[in-house]
Amino acid sequence: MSSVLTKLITIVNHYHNGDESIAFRMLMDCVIDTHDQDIYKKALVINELRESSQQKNAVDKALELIEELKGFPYRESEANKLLLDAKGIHKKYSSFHLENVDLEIRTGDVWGLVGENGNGKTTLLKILANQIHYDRGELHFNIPSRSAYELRTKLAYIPQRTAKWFGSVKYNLQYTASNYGIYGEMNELYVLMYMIRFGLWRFRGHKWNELSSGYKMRFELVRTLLRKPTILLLDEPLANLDVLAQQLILEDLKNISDSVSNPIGIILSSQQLFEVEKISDKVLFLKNGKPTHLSTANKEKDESTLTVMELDSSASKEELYSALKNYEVLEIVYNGGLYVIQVKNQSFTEVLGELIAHFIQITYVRDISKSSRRLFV
Amino acid sequence: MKLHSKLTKYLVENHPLLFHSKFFQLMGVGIVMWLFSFLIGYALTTVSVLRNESVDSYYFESFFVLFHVITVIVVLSIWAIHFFKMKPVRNFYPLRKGYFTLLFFQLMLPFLLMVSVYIPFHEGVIAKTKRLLPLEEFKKDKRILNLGFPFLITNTADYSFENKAYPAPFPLEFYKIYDDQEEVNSFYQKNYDPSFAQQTYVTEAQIQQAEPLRSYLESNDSALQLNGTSYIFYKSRKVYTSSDSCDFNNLISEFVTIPRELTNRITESGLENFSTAFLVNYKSNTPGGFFSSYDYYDEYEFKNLDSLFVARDLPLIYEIAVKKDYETLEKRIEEFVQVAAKYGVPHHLDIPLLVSYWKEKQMKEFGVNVVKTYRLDNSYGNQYPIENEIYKYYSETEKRMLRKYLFVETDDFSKLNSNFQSAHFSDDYTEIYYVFLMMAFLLSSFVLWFEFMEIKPFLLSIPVGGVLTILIILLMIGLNSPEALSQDVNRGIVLFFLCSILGLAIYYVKSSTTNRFFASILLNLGYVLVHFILWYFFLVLNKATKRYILDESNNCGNTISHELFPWIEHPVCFLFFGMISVFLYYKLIPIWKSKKE
Repeated sequence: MSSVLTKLITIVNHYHNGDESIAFRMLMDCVIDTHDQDIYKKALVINELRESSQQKNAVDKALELIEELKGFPYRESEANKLLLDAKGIHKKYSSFHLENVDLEIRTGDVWGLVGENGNGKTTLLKILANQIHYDRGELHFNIPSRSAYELRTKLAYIPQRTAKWFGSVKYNLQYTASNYGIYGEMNELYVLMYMIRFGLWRFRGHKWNELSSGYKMRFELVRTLLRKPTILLLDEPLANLDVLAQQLILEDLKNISDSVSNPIGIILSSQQLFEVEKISDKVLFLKNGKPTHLSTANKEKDESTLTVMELDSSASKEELYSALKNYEVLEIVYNGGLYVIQVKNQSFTEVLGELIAHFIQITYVRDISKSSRRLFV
Repeated sequence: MKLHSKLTKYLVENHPLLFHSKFFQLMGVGIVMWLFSFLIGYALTTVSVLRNESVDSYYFESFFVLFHVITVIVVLSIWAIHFFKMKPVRNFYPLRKGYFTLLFFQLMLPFLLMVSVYIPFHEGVIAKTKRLLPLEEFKKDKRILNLGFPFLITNTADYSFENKAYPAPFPLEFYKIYDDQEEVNSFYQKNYDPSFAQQTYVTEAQIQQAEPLRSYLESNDSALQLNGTSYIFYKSRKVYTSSDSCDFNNLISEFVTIPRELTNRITESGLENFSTAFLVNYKSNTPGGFFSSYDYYDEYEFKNLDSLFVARDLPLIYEIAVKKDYETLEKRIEEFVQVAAKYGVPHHLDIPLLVSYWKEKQMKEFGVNVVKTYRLDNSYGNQYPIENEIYKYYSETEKRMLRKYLFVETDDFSKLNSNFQSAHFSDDYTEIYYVFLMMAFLLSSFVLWFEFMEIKPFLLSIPVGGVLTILIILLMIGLNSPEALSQDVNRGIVLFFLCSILGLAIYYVKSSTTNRFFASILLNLGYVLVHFILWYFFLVLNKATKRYILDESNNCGNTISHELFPWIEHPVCFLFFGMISVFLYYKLIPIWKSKKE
């Protein structure tokens, strides 16, 4: 079964379960991948029905469209294609030293780049975006381009602070699309599809200063996607966003990377460890410029037997030690707000059960055994 | 608004560059500014304006110039907000082939319209001037003024209306015989021998051997006595020493004896200001006749129309003056006053008073201010006007009276006439077109600079550029010192320095190992240089290779200059080379932009 068909079946399930919002967003991803004006127009009708609160009709039309999409000849791009290969990247500044960074980005990959402030995340992103020199190492792009400038047109780097733009959301996006060779009626339809997909439909006439931070980031994301980048590099895209907006952006990023017709490689830096790890295939943790690679649970099997738990509790450290006295506790660290407990040869569930059995009051708990969070301790 | 929205939508969807440059909007503004300027020029022009201002420079005198400058600044500022917020280069959008060149032209065309509103304004002024001073009607009015003007006695300056320029006062050369023997000897250098009249070439030896002037003077009593001083009248000609020589002498070709009936009318001052004699004898001014001279002033400056006026009007003036026809005189002045009133020219002409004045004077002083006289300076071949101060002929009491009752604002007529001439006959604005082209070129390239430049290196390149300019100027001053190098070498060295800066800029931009910040500063410096460096290169080359070769068209041994690029100093060349080199320079921008920090 093709990946599109799998997606479409998932969408139908979402519709049947009443999860209309996620279903519609996923449907729009499949619609955008068709690059077909008629399909786009049909999606536009569904959106108008949604906007005019005719949910029932919208769902019916959506299901009709899904049936049509099942037979649509999608042009599937090569998956898992190597886009960027960095080996032993070094960059020395007077204040810090980025050392020996290795990473490979392939189509469909989402890389999380985490680390505390001033540890080289932005520097590394800029190196990968071909913006700044590195002192040692090798950086190869497997992106066909005739010049350095053309390569840069395919490496979309969204900085932490995006520049102000002028005019309406829609015109700006249309301008970007036409610069990338999408002309005429297709230009408007294509832009509208992205605006619908990323929730900018209602803001199409808005100007820069009329958008919230979250929507500004969405605008930047859409603008970048219209450029059909091969690699997308985002520097702290989640900063200044509320929790819901963060989740939406991350989910969007994951879907973008998995596009059928235009899968891309994404690398994003963030300090929202939990959220980033949720969608990342690979995480690179930078501490004082030194990298540590972590494979997240959804991709690679972790053979470690260490359970690391983040815990918020009113209990004292002694009470915690007492509760876990039967286990091989390596360390309990209290950083002022949360405890980080490291236990050997026990699962997270077992440790949690033991704490509950000893009536330890828990207001928050998270398994960070495979998370880069544990490195922040 | 609907049309504008449709246009914007079409452009953004299909022509991003046109959308970005706002070409059509700018062109629209430019066209509106042109139409508006024409209308304003037309509306502002009145007879009063034509009396007081020059139509060619009225734009600069009127409030409109300020309005224009402010409008352009406002329009460009609003446009710039739109333009600079969309930075395809900064965002690394793909740049189509010739992106900057196309953008340049899309800016230059509307900018040209905006900076050149002088043209429609001027056209509006000209159109209105033609309406207010119609060709045939004003020509008739001018004739009336010309016929009346010589009888107005109050203008202290030369008769400055165009038709004043009657033929040169006296076409003969004359010599005033002083007692000073040295001067007389000097005059004898203008050798004379009747046999020379038949010869095409006269050698130096022949001249030396020829019977000098003195013998002629002794045997001929042709001198005219005026107030006890003798005057000799003659014509001279240029005679070469041989067919292959450029050496020549001015020889007296013919002595002229003034007819007796004229000698009574010639006064001493009249020889230099020969109006009276000229007018009296005007009728004999036929080709080959007495007053037909190579020295006709009008032939040089007042061709066609004016010479016709002269030929037509002078006899009529002469009739009144000689026949003392006071009735016609009064009629002429009345007509003059009517025309003056028609154009609103201020005057205090009291016609009876003026007529009685002439009666009293018996037309005696007539003509003093009619003819503008010229002193010919043979050494330079130039002619200098001799100022006539009419008031010197009157007492203080007379002057006061004349000023009070016979005042005419003659300057107004001059202005009206020169504006009439500009409107109907002058159409050469080529030079000012080049100025506008140059302005549009520089403005476009300056604005385009902001399309790609980064602010920090740009700001830093200003003082760096300033220091380099001072160093180059100091170098030029040093090289220009008396013992220093020739100008060609000097120019060459300056060119070398400029090329070095440009070369360095290209190297820094292209090299992957050089510092991007320095490359940016050099790129900015290079951008300034590139506007003129190619043109300057050809200029220096032209000057360095300029040589003088013998003029083979005659045997005078004259040299003519030979230049490789004789057209190089033409403004179009500057524009052409400037554009070519700027467009080539734009190829560096994507390379520089993608350069790593």
